[in-house]
Amino acid sequence: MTAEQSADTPQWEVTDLRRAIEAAGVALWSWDVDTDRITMDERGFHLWDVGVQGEITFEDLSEKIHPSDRDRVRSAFTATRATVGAFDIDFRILSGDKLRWISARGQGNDADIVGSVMFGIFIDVTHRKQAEEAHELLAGEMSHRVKNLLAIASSLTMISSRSTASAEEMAHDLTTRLAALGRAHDLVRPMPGGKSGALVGDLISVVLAPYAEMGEFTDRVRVSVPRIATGDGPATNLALILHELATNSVKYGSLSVDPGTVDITCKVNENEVALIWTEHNGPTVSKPTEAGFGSKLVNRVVAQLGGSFSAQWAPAGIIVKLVLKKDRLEA
Amino acid sequence: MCHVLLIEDEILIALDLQDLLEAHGAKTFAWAATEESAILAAKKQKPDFIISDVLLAEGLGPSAVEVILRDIGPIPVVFITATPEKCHPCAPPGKILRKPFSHAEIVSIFKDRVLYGH
Repeated sequence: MTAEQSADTPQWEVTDLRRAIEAAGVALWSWDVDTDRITMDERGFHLWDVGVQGEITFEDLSEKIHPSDRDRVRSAFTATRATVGAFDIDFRILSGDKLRWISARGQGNDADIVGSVMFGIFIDVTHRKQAEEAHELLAGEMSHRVKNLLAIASSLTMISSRSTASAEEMAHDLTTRLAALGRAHDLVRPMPGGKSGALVGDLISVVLAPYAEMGEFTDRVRVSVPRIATGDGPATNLALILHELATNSVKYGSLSVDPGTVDITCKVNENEVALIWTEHNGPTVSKPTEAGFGSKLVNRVVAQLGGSFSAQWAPAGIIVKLVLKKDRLEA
Repeated sequence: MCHVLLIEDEILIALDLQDLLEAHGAKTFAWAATEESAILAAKKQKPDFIISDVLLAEGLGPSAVEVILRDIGPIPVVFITATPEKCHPCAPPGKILRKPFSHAEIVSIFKDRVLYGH
């Protein structure tokens, strides 16, 4: 700082400075490098939870430092004797079973040591550290979820490639499946109780929306479902099952002809949720000879969520009944 | 006769793995989405090969595998996970593949360890 600039520096009283320090929540300390004595203000003693006692040594304080941080802090303090410029170190202290983060800042330049005494501050940075830790946790969780989603997408790619004959057909199946998953993900929100999920009725409507207004008729898909929640895992699997039912219907069932419709209803009986898919006014249907992706998927979902699955190839249209355990669906 | 235990809570991944190994000689499959059901499935029928995720719907894949290997004996294991750092204990002869995984790598491990018994 030049002499000219210092002319602008406000000439504050000690009481003004003290008030500012108080407001900032910082504790002041000085450290006599020769005798190892540390002097702190009252806030400092409170922060370290050591009882006000005038002077204390660095060794006394280091007892309170978290064992994993102790050596690091000790070498930083020792090094300040030789370090030029400011130092800044964050570490954990333990008072009882409570953990607190402290940031120590000071001047370690010999030029600033008046009579071998260094000056600095301690500040409680527990909240900031906790926020940083929560952020890191979230970033880690996010990265895990992204890798998992990529793995799911790559599995869906392989599954789609095995059941199709041309690249075009495969691309169509894969992209429509991914779109159904995307729509389900859009719906998944934090639900009461801290979990995330969606409402079954919303899920059905959003997944089947592309099929509701095909051809000349509107209202081809009618959904009548009470208010039931589904967790985010079951929601994505349920979305894919509905998507497969709809695409099968578009290929072979009631959605393949103009007057055809689909009704989706739901009955809840204690812990059982029964979803019923009924097709009307479609062509005559017959049971396929080979189990496709949709039926393999539905059988696995039923096994995992505890329930049952049945399909009736009635001449008037297929009737599919999917029974799931309500508590497992919500999980 | 080759029985595979799939410990994986993502149904799509498990379906894909089943198709993949079926095409390369695996005959029967058991599926488990939780630690407990994995142990039960292995006790019901001894697997010749195990593919396990790490974080499951309930519990951990490595913990299930540890119990299975201790109680049933050595079985080739591959862990497939998005969290390899959490794979503990990744019991030998466990091998870890990262998600998203390479299908070719799984097939080659399956052939080496199970079909050719290396």
